[in-house]
Amino acid sequence: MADLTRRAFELADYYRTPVMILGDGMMGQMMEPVVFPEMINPDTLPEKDWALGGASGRPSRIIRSLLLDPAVEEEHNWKLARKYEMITRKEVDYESYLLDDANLVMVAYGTAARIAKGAINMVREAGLKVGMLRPRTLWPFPSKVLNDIGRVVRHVLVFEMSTGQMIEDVRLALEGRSNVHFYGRPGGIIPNPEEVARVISSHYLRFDIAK
Amino acid sequence: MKQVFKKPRLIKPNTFHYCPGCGHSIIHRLIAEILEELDLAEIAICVPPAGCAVLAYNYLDIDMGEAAHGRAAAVATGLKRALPDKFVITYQGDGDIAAIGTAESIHAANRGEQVSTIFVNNAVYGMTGGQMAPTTLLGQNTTTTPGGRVASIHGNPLDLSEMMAIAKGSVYIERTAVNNAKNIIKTKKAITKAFKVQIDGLGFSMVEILSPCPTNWKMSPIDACKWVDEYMTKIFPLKVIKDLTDTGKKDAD
Ligand SMILES: Cc1ncc(C[n+]2csc(CCOP(=O)(O)OP(=O)(O)O)c2C)c(N)n1
Ligand code: SF4
Repeated sequence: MADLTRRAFELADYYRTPVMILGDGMMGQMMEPVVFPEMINPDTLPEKDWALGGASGRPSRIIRSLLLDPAVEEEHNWKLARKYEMITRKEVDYESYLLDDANLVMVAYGTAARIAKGAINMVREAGLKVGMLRPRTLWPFPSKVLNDIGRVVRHVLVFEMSTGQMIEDVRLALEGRSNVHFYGRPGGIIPNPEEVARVISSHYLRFDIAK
Repeated sequence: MKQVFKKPRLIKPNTFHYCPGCGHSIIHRLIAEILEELDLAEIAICVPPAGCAVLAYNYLDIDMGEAAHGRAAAVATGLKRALPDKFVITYQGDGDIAAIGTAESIHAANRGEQVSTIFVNNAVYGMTGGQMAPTTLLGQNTTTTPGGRVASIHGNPLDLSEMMAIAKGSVYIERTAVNNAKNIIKTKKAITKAFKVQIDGLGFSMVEILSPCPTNWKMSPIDACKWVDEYMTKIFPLKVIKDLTDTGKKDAD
């Protein structure tokens, strides 16, 4: 959270775009040591030739979102579209965990990903080859990696502490390549790694995944 | 020949889009004149509202940064705190400041933010076609109160300036009008004083200006000016609502 919050500000500044941080409720309720990342040198940030600060020795500036001329508006929207396209290409961020030999891949974010990791470590001891993809950015979504996973892995298990907010993104990214399974808990009791390990094991049995 | 009137230097050579008889253009001119007289042009930043005056940046030749509807006080707070040596004003309609933006406006005043607010009260939502605003008078016809505003259904006209005056960080609040030459001169004095409050670092200042909207009031410009006197000033009396400039102190001190 500390790392990503810092990163969010840097990205917002670099692209001049809003960045949304989706905080996890658990963060507010737990304690863990945190090492803060190094401060970046503000002089390395892009120059802001648009910023307001008084028209002294230069023409006055306007910051606005209202563009009444349809041609100007369309041109501006194309400019934004190019920026979003660039962000989609450059800023996808994810963590992959034990993917190399996996025949079941979990997709989980936030606290659910931490629990999933514990569960994966347990079932790995029993010989189940499970890995995980943890999207750090939800937009841009790591669609390409997931699509590549779909070329070799037949089963993907989405685990969320919700009734399914990411499952459609996963399905879209996989384009039907893998079977998508879902385990979700709606908030309330926080599942522990043992429970999730049981869910993984039962998927192995039911879908004969080990073969 | 002596020149007695000219276009202020800080008004861009664009044609105003405002309706004939609208108060916004007069208020723009006053702001431009005062910024020039107080030599503030090079450090001034204005936050225009969502409303007919969003296009103020087409006319005022100073740095201008649009805010989302109602958010001017919040944006101005950020600007002034980040750039304390600059001169920051907000320009807001009654729909903007007294409805969607009430919360941040009151709190900016309460914190004594060093910004000056121009609050243009035309008793309706102008830009969107004359819907009821919190400042609409009882009995006044608007597109959303076709039979006239009724207190038991729509509430009473809101005394936003009086509310802002209760906030401890506000230093100077005056209500004026731009419906005749005398009132325009008084408005110019009031805005000048509000700006000086910021220059002297005393706290939050605001001028509420009763301003004709002939289009949405469905009146001729002349009748609209009369209506300000005959009806609006009865509910929103022209007066100094709060003035702590002499004491040089905010309530909060
Ligand atoms: C969040 C949001 N809601 C609604 C609107 C639509 N809108 C634009 S101007 C306006 C009313 C402005 O009225 P007022 O503040 O009285 O200014 P006037 O146009 O009368 O000068 C509204 C509701 C908007 N721009 N943004
Ligand atoms: S609608 Fe009213 S406030 Fe808007 S420009 Fe016309 S007269 Fe002025």
